[in-house]
Amino acid sequence: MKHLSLLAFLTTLTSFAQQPAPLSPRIANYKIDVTLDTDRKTLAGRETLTWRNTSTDLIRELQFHLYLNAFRDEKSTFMRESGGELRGEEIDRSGKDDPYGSIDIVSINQRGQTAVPSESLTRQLRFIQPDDRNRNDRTVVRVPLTKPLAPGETITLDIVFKAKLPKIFARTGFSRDYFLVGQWFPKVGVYEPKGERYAKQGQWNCHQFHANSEFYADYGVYDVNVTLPLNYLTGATGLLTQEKNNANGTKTQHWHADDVVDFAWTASPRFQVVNDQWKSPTGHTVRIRALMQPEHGHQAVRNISSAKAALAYFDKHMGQYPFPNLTIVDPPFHGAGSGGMEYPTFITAGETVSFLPNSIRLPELVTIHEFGHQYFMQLLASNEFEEAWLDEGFNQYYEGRVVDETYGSHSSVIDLFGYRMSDSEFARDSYVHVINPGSGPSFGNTWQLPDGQYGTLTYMKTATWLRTLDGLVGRPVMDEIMQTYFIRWRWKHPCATDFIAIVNEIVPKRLGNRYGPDMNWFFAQVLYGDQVCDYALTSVSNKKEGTKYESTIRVDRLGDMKLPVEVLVHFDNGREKLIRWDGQSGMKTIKLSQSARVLWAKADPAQKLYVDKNLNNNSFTLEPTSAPAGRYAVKLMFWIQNLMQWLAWLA
Amino acid sequence: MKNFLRAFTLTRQSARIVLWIYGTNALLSLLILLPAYATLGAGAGHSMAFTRLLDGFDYTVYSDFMAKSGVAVDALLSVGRWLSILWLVLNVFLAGGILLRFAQPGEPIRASTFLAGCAQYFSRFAGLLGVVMLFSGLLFFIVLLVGTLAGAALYNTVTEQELFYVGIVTLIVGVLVGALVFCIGDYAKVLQFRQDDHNPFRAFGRAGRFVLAHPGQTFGPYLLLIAIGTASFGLYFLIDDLIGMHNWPTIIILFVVQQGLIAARIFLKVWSLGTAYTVSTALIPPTTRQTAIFVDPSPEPMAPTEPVEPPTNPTVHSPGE
Repeated sequence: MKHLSLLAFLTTLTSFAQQPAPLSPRIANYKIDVTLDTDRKTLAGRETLTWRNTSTDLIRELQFHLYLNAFRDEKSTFMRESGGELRGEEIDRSGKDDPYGSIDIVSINQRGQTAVPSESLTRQLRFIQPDDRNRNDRTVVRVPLTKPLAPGETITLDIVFKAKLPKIFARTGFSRDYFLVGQWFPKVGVYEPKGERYAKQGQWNCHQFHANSEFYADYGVYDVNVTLPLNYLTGATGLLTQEKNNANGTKTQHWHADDVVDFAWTASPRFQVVNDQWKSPTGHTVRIRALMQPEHGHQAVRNISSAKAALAYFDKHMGQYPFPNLTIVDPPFHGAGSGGMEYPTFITAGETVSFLPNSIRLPELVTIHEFGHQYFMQLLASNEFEEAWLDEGFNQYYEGRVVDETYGSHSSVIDLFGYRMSDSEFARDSYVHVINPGSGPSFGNTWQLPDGQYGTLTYMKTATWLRTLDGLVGRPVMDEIMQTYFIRWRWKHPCATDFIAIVNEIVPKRLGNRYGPDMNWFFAQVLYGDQVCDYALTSVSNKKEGTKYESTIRVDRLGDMKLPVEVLVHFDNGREKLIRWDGQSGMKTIKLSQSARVLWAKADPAQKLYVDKNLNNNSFTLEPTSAPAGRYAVKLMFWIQNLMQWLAWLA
Repeated sequence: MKNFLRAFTLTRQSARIVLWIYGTNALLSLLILLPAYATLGAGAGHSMAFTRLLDGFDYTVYSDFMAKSGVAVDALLSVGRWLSILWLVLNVFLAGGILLRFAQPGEPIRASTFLAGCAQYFSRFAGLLGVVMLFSGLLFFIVLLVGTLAGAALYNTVTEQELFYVGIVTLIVGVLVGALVFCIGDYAKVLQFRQDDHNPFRAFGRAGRFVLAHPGQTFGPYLLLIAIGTASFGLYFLIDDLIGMHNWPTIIILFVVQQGLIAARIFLKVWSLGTAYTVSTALIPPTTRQTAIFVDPSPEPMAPTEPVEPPTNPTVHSPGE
C-alpha cells in the first residue's frame, strides 16, 4: 500500500512534469456550449469566461466585444462606415433571407467562491462607444463589477447569449446551408497594464467594430461544444476531441484549442473533406484538412500545396508553427464574403473558382496570405484596430516572399499569354501608383486612415517599405530582425516601437554605422510619415581632357523621401564603380576622371529602394536602344488593326 | 460548298482589291504606329529599364511607364477607337465596290469603277448598317437579359459551375445571334445590290428569311470564316511565342507576319461577302424588275459577265434617273 501510494505519487508527478508548459499567458479562457439552428440561422450559447487580472491594477469593470451587433441594423458604426459593403461583397438587403445579424446577452453572472452565491451583473450592462460616440452602436459593452478584481485574481463569468447570424457579406454568417461562424460570442477585450504597448496607465482596449478593422484579443484556452444537425460537416479552431450523437437528430462536437486568441467554426452538409499533412525538417507534423466545395474538389491540391509552401517557408525563415493542425475552408461562391479570412489554426480560402487556370495563382496567394496570419495575428497578437500594418502589412510582405519564391520572381501571380506579374510587383504597384502615394502613414487607427486608403497604407505600403528595409539591410539581417521579433514577442502584444527597437538593436550590430546609430530616420518617413520616394538618374556626359575623360553623372531626388542611394557607373572598358550617396540633397553630381568614358549609370542598381515610385528613371545610357519602343508600337498597331477588322464584320 | 469555293475563286481573282483594302488599313494604322513609336521612345528616353521588355513582359517596367505616360497611351488608344469606327464606315463604303466586282468578274479591275460602285451603294448600305446594329443590339440585349434573369433566378439554388454554364451559354447564344444578324446583313447587302432595293428593313427581312431557310449554305460558311480568322489569331500567338520580339530583326519578322495575318483577315471578309453573293445568286432567281445598280464612268459599254454569273440587272442608268 505504501509502495502503491508512492507509485501513485510518482505517476502524478510524472504526468504533471509531462504536461507541456502553457505557450501563452492564457488570460481569457472560454468554455462555450452553443447550438446552431440551421433553419433560423441562430445561435443559443452558454459561455463561461475565466479571466485573470495580470496587471497590478484593481479592475473595476470588464469590457466585451459583441461583434455580431455590427450587423444589427444600418446604424451601427460598421454599417455606417462600410455602407454594407466589404471587399466587393454587399449586404443583400432585397433577398428573402434576413441579412442582418445580432447578439444579445441574456444574462451574465459572476460565479461566487465556495459557499458564496453567484451574482447577476445583467442589469449593469451598458453599451459604450469609445471610438465615435455612435449611440446606436452596440458592439462594445461594459460590465461594472460590484467588487473590484485584485491583481492576480481570477474572475469567472457565466454568460447566456443568443445570436442571429447575418447573411454573409463580411466574414461571418450564413449563406444557404453554409455557415462560417466567426466573431460570434461575447468576447472580453484586452486590459493593457501600464507599460504594455502605449498604455501610460492600465486601461481597457476594446474598440468598436469598424469597417476597416479586424481584431485584438488575449490568449486563452477554448473548450467549445457545438451542437448542430447530424448531416453537417464541420471544421473549427483547434482539434475535435469528442463527438456524440443526440436523440433529436443532432450531434455535439467538442473542440479544444490551447493558446489561441479566437475561435471560429464552420458547418455545411456539402463539404468535401481532403486530408493531408506536412512534416517539418525537425519532425513536427501539421495535419492539413481542406473543407472544399464539391465543385472545387479537384482544386484542393492548389490550396494544400500552397499551405505547405507557406508552412515550410515560415518554418525556415521565422520559426516553428506550434500547432498540430491547420484547417482550410473553401467557401461557396454565394458565401464568398467569408473568404480570405484568418482565425487561429483555421483559415478561409478565396478566389477558388472552378475554371481558374493554374497560371492565375489567386487561390494559392490567398491561402498563403491567410496562413501567414497564423504568425502575424495569432502568434504575434498585435492590435489590429490600432496597428493593422503590424499584421496585414507584415503578412503582405511575407506573402510576397513566399509566393515569389515558390512560383517565380516575376510571374508568381499571373503568367498568362506572356502577361506576367509577381506578388511583390503587385503590392508595390498598388502603393506607388495610387493617385497620391503620399496620402498618409501606415501607422494609425484603421478607422482614422484617409478615406479609401486602408488597403493601400496598411497592406501595400507596409509590404513595400519592408521590402525596402530588406534591401537596405540585406536578407540575412532582415531574417535575423524578423526572427528576433518573432521569438521575443510571440504570445504577446507587440507594437511599432517594439519592432523598431529590434531593428535598431540588430542593424548597427550587423552593419556598423552604415545607416547611423539607429534606423529611426527610416521609420519616421515610411511608417509615421507620408513621404514619397523617387530618385532619377538624369544625365551622363563625357568630355575628353587630354588622355582622360571627365565624366559627369547627375542624380536627382524628385520625391521628399530621403534614403541612401547607391550609384553604379559603367565604363566603356567594362569596368564598373559603385558610389554611395546619402540621398539627402535634392541633387547629386558625380564627377569622375578616368581613362575610359562612362557608358551608363544606374541609381539603386539592385532595386533596394522598392518604395521608389519610378524605377524606370533610375538609369541613363548613352547608347539607348529603340527596339522596345518598336516592339510595342508594332504590337499596338497589330491589336488596333485586329479591332478594326473585327468591326469590319459588322459592315 | 460549290458556292463557297466559287466565292474563294472570285475573291482570289479580286486580289488587287484585297490589296487596296489592306493598303488603306495599313496606311490608317500608321496613325497608331508612328505616334506610338514616338511616345514609347520618348517615354523610354535614355533609360535602360526598357531593355527588359525585350526579354518578355515586365510588370514593373510596364506599370511605372503607365503611371508616367498613361495619358499619352490613352490618347493613342483613343485614336485606335476612332480609327476602328472610321474603318467600319469605310467597309460600308467598300462593300458596293466589292459586290460590283463580283458581279463583273471578267472585267479588268479598275479603281475608278471600284470607287464608283462604292459610292453608288454607300447610302443604302449605311442605312442597312443601322438596321443591323439595331437588330443585333436588340437581340443581344434580349439574350443577355434572359441569361441574367435566369442567372438571378437560379442564383440561390444552383452551384457555381451551373451558374458558370448559364453565363457561358448566354454568351455563346448572344455571340451566335449577333453573328447571325451580321450574316443576314451581308445577304441583305447582296439583295439590295441585286434588286436595287433601297429599303434596308425589307432587304434585311428578306435576307433573314433566306438565311434561316438555308443555314447550311449561308450561316455555316460565315461561321467557318470567322473561325478561320480566330484561328489565325491563335496562330499568331504561337508564332510570337516561337520567335519573340527580342531585337529589331525579330521585330521586323513578326511585323511581316502580323501584316500577313491582317491581309488574310481582310481576304476572309471579302470572301464572306463573296459567299453571300454566290449563294444568293445561285438560290434566288433574278427579279423581273430592271433596276439600276451602277454608273460606269467609262465611255465604253460594259462587257458581258461570264456565263455562270449572269448579271441580273444589266441596264446602265445615268445618275439623274
